[in-house]
Amino acid sequence: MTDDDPYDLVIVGGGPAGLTAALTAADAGLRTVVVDESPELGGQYFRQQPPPVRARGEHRPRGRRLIEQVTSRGVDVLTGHVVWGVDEAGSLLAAPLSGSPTRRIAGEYTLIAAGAHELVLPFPGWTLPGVVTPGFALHTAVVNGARLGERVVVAGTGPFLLLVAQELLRAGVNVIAVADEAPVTPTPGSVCRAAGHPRQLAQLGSMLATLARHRVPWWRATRLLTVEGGADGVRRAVFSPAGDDQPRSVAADVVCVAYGFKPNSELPLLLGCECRPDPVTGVLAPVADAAGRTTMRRVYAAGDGVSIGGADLAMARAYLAAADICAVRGHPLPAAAVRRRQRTARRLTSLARLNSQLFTPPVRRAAELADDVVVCRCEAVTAGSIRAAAVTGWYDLSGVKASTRAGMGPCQGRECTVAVTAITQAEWGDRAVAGAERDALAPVTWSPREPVRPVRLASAIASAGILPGDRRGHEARGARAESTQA
Amino acid sequence: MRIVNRGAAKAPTSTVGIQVNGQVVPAVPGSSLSAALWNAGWRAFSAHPVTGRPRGPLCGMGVCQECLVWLVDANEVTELSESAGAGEMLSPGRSRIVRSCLEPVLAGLRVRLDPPGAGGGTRA
Repeated sequence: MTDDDPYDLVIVGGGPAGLTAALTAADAGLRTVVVDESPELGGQYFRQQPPPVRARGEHRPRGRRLIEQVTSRGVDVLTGHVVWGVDEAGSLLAAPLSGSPTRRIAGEYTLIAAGAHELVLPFPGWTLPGVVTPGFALHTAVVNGARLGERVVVAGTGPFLLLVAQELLRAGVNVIAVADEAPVTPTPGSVCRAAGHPRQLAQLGSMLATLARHRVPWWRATRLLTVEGGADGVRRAVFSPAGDDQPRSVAADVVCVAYGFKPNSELPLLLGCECRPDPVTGVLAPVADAAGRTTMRRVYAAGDGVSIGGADLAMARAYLAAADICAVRGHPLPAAAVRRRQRTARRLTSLARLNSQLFTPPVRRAAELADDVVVCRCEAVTAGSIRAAAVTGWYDLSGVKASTRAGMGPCQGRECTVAVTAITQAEWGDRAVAGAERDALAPVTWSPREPVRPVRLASAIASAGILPGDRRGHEARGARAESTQA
Repeated sequence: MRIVNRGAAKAPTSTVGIQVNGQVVPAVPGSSLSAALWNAGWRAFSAHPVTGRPRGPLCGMGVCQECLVWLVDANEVTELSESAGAGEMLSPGRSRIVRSCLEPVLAGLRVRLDPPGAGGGTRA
């Protein structure tokens, strides 16, 4: 346990947002630290591996430069550290992955740039080995140059699927098809709005050109129904194409599936920041204003951990958050630079909104799952058990969790919260509870529990001062308590 | 004809040996352990603790906890190889569970996919 001098700014997350904020704050003379659980800085987007592995991707050199700038500016870097809790004073508790004792990281300001992870929704067969997220596919084939599979299909919804297919094709992976369940029928309104984003349209053109060159079809309005396979993994993916009664079955050994992204909101929740479900996607995220201020004093949040919009938006918003902190501390940044980021943020926010309207994740569909489909992967809890718990008296999410163990496994509900919520709320709906009353009843998520990420027990209890090696601290506290009583 | 995984094929990177359930598997040092296991053909890294069914990695970014494997700490491996030479028997107390997607490959790493023989570590 180390109690160093407090930092001016503690940043959680070393991805595009965290790195940008760190560089901005350090340039303004703020004493800054970046904490990230990965062994290397970069986050998912700029993900780096130690040499000799050289990750592919045109965007990665930009990440390398940003990382070099951050480290050369004297920013403290704590990679391989999991932030798992918060102490009474609001300091973050970070455990090294090596299992060494937890460190307490105190700062005047905290910026949460924890990013997001891919939203996967349950379907029959989704627990078979070989059903993976784009994150795993890119990590394996693009970042590490490993063999992913012989026949890979990419499914779900979102323009991100096209980017994933393009990156996989460039890494030499045999992509069979990209299936997006959104109909993507351009309306005059959406065409006009998209026309305001020439760079992104050019990128869309490049992705479609790569697919065409490799003769990979982009199926729209095509929904992934089931994945079939056995102990050796995936064998087939079955789709329901639009306007076609016959399901389409495709031989595949890897099915790469995502329906968008889900902000990592555990830390904001733990710090007491208000979080609300996104009005379009229904996915929970911390409330933050244009300067990244959350509802908690001196706690900021920026990047995909607040609203999904990609690396450029995350970097603009992180700059604005750092600029706000710098201004409060008496180091205002050039107004022109701030205005430029504000313009970028507005433009990319409107694009992100268009994306989520065209490619809305079907979060409510979990309510239609057959009873035998596993919803909570960690604890193997089925849709039927969740339904039973919801209708036999457990009228809140926490009750469903306590009754079924859904969300109690090692992922702590990160992969199943959205689906469990959808199933539970559908059952409430059937009870014909009046709208306002139902909304009052319906909690939007489980309350966060420390540790918010699994840590080694030795690492966690050392922080409580109850390890034999830390007895002095324990006794000192005891003495303090006695003196208070006296 | 499409060349399958040209990226992996052309990589001239030298490999090191890691031990997976006692079997020596080549892996690129510095690459992630999950990528190395997947590249070597493993699709399931464990048996599900509730259902016993084969369980494979999902997210590749440390969230899902489905790529967990048993690992003997790298420092302890070094310690052992220095003191007693590689190939020592290690007590189970020195193993720890790690997310293989966040664990870099080091020469001599020993991995246990658990429980062996009960569906853990299914190779395609």
